[in-house]
Amino acid sequence: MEFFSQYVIPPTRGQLELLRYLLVLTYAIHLPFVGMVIGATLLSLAFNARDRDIANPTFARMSKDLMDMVLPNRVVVLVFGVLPLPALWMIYGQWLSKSTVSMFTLLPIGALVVALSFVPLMAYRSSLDPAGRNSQVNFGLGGIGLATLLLGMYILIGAVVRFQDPERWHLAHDGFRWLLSFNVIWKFGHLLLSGLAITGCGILFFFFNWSGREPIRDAKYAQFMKNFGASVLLATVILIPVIGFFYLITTPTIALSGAVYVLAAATLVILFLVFLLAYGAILSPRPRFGARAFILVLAVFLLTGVGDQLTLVNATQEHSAALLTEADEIKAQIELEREAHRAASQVVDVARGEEVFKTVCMTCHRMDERLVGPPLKTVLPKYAGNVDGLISFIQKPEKVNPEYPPMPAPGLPLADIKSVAAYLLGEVDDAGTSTESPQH
Amino acid sequence: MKKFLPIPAAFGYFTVFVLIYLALGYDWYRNKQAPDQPIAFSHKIHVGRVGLDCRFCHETVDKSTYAGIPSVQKCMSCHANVATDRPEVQKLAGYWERQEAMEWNRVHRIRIRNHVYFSHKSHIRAGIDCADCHGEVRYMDKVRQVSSLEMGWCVSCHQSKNASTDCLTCHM
Repeated sequence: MEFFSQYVIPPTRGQLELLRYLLVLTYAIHLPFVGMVIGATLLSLAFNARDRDIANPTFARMSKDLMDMVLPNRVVVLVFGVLPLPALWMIYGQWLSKSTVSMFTLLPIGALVVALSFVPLMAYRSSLDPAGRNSQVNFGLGGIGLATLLLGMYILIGAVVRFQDPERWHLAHDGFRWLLSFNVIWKFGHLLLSGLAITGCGILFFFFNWSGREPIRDAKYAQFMKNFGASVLLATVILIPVIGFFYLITTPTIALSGAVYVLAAATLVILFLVFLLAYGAILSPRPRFGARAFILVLAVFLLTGVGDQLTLVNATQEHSAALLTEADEIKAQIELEREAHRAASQVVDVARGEEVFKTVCMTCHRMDERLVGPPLKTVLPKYAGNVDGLISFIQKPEKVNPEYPPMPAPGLPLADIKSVAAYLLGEVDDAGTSTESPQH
Repeated sequence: MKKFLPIPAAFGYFTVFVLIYLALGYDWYRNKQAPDQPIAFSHKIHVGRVGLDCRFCHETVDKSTYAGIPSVQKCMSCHANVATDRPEVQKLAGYWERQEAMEWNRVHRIRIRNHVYFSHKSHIRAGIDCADCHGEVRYMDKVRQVSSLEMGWCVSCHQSKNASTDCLTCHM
């Protein structure tokens, strides 16, 4: 964290709020895309392997169409797949600056692996032949791409899930062992299933409901594709609540709040609607409901992203408070310097000093008796002739006598502190030596 | 009609899971979130703003196995004069006038407490900071449990600090 801590200015409340929105936005852009790439590549590889076994042109065509759907060109890969990765790194780096958790192990490694995985995946897409002459070579490319993407996402999820468990932050050597925790495994499973779900409704949407694409002329192929997409969607939608349950019960208590549970329950309501649409798509002879199902699954991703952001906020409440305090201190320091500049030209007002003493100091102090703090007549004489010493003590009190609780900084403007110091020293002087009030 | 049967079945299935999720949430709400206390005592004010040392109130933390909860008398040693106009302090003064003990709610829950020996004194003497286990209470209005206090958590810290991991160190 040294790198970030050195260069990151502690964020203010407004900036932290902004980071939360940015985090949800980044999740909402990245995860549906990566999920769909995982789902489509997995299914494409399965069709590819079946095609080589029994040489079925439908399977060969499906294998290619799926990859064309998720990886249409490099710009899409860059915008949805790669650019959110450095954004995630920056957001977490700012959110967790000055904490003991490392920003230089899991998160950047995972991000790099994910970014690199798109190279073999793009090569796999280009190598596919709709005429059905697929070979071990392109299957291998796809396999390497998918395995790399899965590995990268697993490490990335491991990093993000670790952020919501502060009790493990200081265990630096625990970095890779942590990846085997159940919380990470269930979260990864959740992404796999959601990825397959959005691939299923992606098939219904992009091939049948999207105006940017030519309709499929081969009725038999269209029928096969529609039923396949809807079946994948149905199966995954049924499994997501189970895996979500295991994720919830393994999430650390510190990261949870009522809103996290309500959000998780709300996603189930949406998933039920997706189930109805997917079932309707199977029953209906015409391909329908693709766009609606796709939007609803995107909404599930969005709500999950909001939930993930909430668990981070819950888990890091004290850390965020520490950052805000630091930002306030910097602000106060600047204010103090300005005040000192102004106060330098101001005249000390003993009457104002007496007023401040009566309204603020007398909460804890009396001249002759012990209250919360010591009787002032016993402690003030040591400041005789040292008004600056008294002023700096009132500005930033330090514990002197263990018999008394420490004195909090009163947070007064410097002019008031100077006035009250003049008043106090004057009082002691009056009582002790009956000489004239000193001029400060 | 048969082809519509999966719809009520799915409705039942999703409803069951919604109820399970909400039940988990209810369990969190009742048993796991930071508990309310008889008065809204703020560590943020006393530790963060005033700068009290933990030991000022938890007096026995370096002398006994228990950290100790301050008595109403201890609170009144300052609050007989300080912030007497605040409603929560007036509630405190009520306890004092009635000579009634404050019944604080336990914040740190340990799942299985049997056969485990834990001493605050020996951890303080070993130089462990209070915040290592209890979190930064100076930023908490209402104190919450930040560490799981589970065995794996204890052992990982003992290992990292080269403290004994012999079973008998904690178990009897």
